[in-house]
Amino acid sequence: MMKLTRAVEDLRAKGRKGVVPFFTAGYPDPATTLRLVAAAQQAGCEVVELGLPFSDPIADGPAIQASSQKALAGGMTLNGALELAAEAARSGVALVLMGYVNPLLHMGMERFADRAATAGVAGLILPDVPREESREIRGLLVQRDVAWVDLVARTTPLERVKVITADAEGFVYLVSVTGVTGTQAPRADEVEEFVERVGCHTARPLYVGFGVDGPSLARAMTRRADGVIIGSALVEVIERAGPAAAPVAVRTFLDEVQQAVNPTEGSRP
Amino acid sequence: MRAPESNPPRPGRFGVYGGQYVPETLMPGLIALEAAYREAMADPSFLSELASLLKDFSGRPTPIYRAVNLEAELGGGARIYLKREDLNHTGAHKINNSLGQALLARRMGKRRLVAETGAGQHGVATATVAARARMECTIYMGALDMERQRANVLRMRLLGAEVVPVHAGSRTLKDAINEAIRDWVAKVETTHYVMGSTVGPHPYPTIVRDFQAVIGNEARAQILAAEGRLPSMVIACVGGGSNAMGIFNAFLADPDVALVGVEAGGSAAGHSASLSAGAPGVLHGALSYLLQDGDGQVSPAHSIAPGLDYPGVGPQHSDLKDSGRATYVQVDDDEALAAFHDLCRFEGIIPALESSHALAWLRKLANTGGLTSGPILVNLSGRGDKDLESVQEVLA
Repeated sequence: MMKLTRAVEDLRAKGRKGVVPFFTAGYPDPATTLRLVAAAQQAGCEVVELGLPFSDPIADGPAIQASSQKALAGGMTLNGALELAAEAARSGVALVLMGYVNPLLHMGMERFADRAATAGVAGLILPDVPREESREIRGLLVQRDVAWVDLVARTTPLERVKVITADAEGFVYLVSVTGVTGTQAPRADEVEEFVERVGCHTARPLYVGFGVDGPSLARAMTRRADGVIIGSALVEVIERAGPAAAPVAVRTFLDEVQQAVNPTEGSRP
Repeated sequence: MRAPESNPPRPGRFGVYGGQYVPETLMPGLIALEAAYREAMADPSFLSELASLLKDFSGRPTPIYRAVNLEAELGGGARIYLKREDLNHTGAHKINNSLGQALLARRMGKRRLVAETGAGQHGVATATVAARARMECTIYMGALDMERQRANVLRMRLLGAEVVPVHAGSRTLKDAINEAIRDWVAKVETTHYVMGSTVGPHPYPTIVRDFQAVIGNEARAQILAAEGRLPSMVIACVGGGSNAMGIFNAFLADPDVALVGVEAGGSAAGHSASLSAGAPGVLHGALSYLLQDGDGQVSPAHSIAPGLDYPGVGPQHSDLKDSGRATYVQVDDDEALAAFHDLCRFEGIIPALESSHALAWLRKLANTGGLTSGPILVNLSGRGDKDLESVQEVLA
């Protein structure tokens, strides 16, 4: 079983819902990114997404566009992000990279796959690489125990859902809204129907992302889904707190989300 | 010379270039668009409606015009013909594609058009066809381009389109496309994205080329009638590459016709010569030559011509470059401006700054003794009314 698959299956076996935070590598600065990942682990997040900043992120709304721009302006590169990932992964967190394909192509897909595997990365999400274009990179990753995480959209027809989920590893990423990240809140009833529809075709855990902005939506989403992914809302938390206070603010925010989605656990130490 | 790919061997590829690098949300929309497009192109009623709009609404066929004074000025002896796309309704070749895509959108039951624009010509063309088709229309335009093409912003608004300024990145065409794609991702079920150039994910590079192919089809017949032979060379400017693909397409199978694409060499501030100076990469849904830095981040482009100010290029041009079937060269801002003035003064035609790049290559040819054999066909892709302010600023 692949590392990421094991991480999300262990969670499911314990009856817990996944809370997956997204942090842009190098935002607000590289050292703080590492502290944010640590804060997320303290809040009980076993899986963390690390964003690889790109100049033209077409699937992202204003918050993640801004965090990417700031990270790039601060000198973050794909190399730098992989170094951060290696440090972050040492703590045992299942790290999933999320980025756009061009910097990876520029590095060379095989070299990237080697670097990601060496860094201990558990998975990769590329929102601009749909099923049709994913074969080569998926093959390179799977050989190295790095899961390729597929996205399924609200617009994806059933037949296509079947094809996409047939050999899914880790979790299946459900794009909750027809749109880009962080711009509109998904409707709970629509997402429930969506999760149910996809769930008929795969046994893999289903994680919902795009527009999940805090505890109450996270709770509503996880009534049926196995987990939620939170990105833009965290950028806003970090932006408000500033670099020094960001880890504490993120810890507090994620504690609240955990309380909302895994309420039986009581307060964590 | 390897045979170039006129039709993608696997979905959406010209050689290794092209593809569909887009969010999953858009994939079903692209698959539906491709199916609708194939059906439409096989439907005689669609083709005849498009043909009659090109004729009665846009004024096609556009003539070819022999620029005798320019010939005398440049010397060398080659006969020079201009394909007068500047005489189209709305002032450029862009209307050919917008008319086709609006009919396609209607066929698919879409009630809203979204588009990007650089120079504003594609935005004006799309606002125009939207007005005619009584569709809602939103145009994304870089804030910098809105400043330097104010007349076109006004035209789009008069035609009923909403013009949304894009303040991100370099505030030019690249950023306008990013926002238009994001809009489309959010409204894909009701909206058709009228991509303005031969760029973007499959099937756009094919659709736009096919709707622009009328330029080359007409010009080929016209020059045969005028000269009794094919041109020795066809020259067009290349930003995304739609006017160039439109005119090149009719000559791809004629190996004796040299095809020359002229990119924007810009100035000390930068350039937009993706084919001459870029490397293969993915931007806006397709793999193609791309201006990028050592980390694979997209580099800002620069050109005095907003319609060429783009770090990417259509995937078929990348294949034509690699196969050697077409040659890509560059001229800088100053050379384009000089050619702009030449055409104004010697021929009484004010060309678009984009098209002025193609014209400027003639001077380069003349200077190196390359203007001796002809005839040479230049695509005059648009008129320069929109550029008067920019040119005046440079003169001041």
